[in-house]
Amino acid sequence: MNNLIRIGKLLYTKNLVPGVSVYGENLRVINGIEYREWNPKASKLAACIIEGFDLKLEANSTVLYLGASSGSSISHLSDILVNGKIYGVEISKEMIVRLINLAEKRKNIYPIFDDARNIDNYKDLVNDSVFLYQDIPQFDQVDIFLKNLSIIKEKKGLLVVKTKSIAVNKKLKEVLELVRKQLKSVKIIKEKVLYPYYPDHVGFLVSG
Amino acid sequence: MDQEDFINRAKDKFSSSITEEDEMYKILDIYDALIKSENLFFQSIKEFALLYFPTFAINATLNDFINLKIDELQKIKDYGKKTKDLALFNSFLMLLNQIEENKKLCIKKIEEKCSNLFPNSSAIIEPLILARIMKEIGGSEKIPNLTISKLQAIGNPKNFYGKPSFGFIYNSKIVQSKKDKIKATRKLSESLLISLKVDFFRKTKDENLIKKLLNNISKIV
Repeated sequence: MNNLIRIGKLLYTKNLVPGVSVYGENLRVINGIEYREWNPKASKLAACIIEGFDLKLEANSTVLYLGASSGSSISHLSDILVNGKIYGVEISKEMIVRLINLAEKRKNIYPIFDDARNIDNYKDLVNDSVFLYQDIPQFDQVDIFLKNLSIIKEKKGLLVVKTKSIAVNKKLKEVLELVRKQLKSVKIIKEKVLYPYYPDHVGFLVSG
Repeated sequence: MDQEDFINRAKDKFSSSITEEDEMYKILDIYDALIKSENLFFQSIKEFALLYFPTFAINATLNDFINLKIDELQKIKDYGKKTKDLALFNSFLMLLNQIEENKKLCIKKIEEKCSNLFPNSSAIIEPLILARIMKEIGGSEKIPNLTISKLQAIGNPKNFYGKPSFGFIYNSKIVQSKKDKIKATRKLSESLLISLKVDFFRKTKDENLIKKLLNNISKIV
């Protein structure tokens, strides 16, 4: 991926808005270019990239991001997809305010204030997306992912499952079996536990 | 659609999604924060007053400090530091008074909003307690799934688990005035649940219903 480098255990993205730190992350100048530190301990997407998930995103790709929250991870994605679009879906009132604030500064972030379960409300707006990223720790998160995957052009996406949200009393293996069953309709390209960053989270890179 | 359209759409949806209920919960948060800060502030003022008026301050309550005036302060003859910084002390008292006034304002607003949103329920239980219950259950949209056992356990401190009667309802004035508090809690939560469901589905005040439900509770000794 362009504008993304790895130094040691940290990732760095080329700052789209030089001199501005979005959520208090460190800024570092490397060869005269300003980069923003992307810590895998603070972002599941960063942890997925470090763990070897190849998202194959270009600078002009369009991504649908479910569970955008305050936009810390999305801001790094906006550094990478300089000429692309990132549709950030968020349901929380407090978080959408922060996301709107961020979108006003970064021209490739498109905030959507909606529930990711109600795809009818926004499916016509995001039909040019080529990749889906979902990080919503809900018990029905696989259903939400599959629903949203149906509106993605290339049917490709990364699902980060929080195993404790799906079943608290089951072991990791049992939950993974459950998730695999639910993802029967799609092809799992890669599956990995995000250890040591998020031991309870598992990443699934899928294509339709 | 441009990015600006997306932003405007999100902004519009945000402003239209804010309800009177949201406002009420936020005011409740502010009220709780005021109580916390008032208590902390009172403790510090008390320690400060101890330097000048030890006999008065050692037994003084929060209300004593709120009602205290500068003229009365000058009259108090107490041992302690002789050159008294009364101007500073008085400004602290004024701040304490302001917090108290804001608390009253918050309660007034909560009562107003609660009686608008839940006209029947707010006649049965104190609006402040009702607001706390509604916030704890996650808003009025959860009312249809509410049960009596769940309702009476809301606000129950963790160490009381297994005895679900010690919740917000247990601390209401009606229950505290009864001898058999556990039974009164059960009866009140029963009546409250009925009134909440009427409020949710009908949204109009029903005097007959309120009378009936209050009669149910008043039978308990």
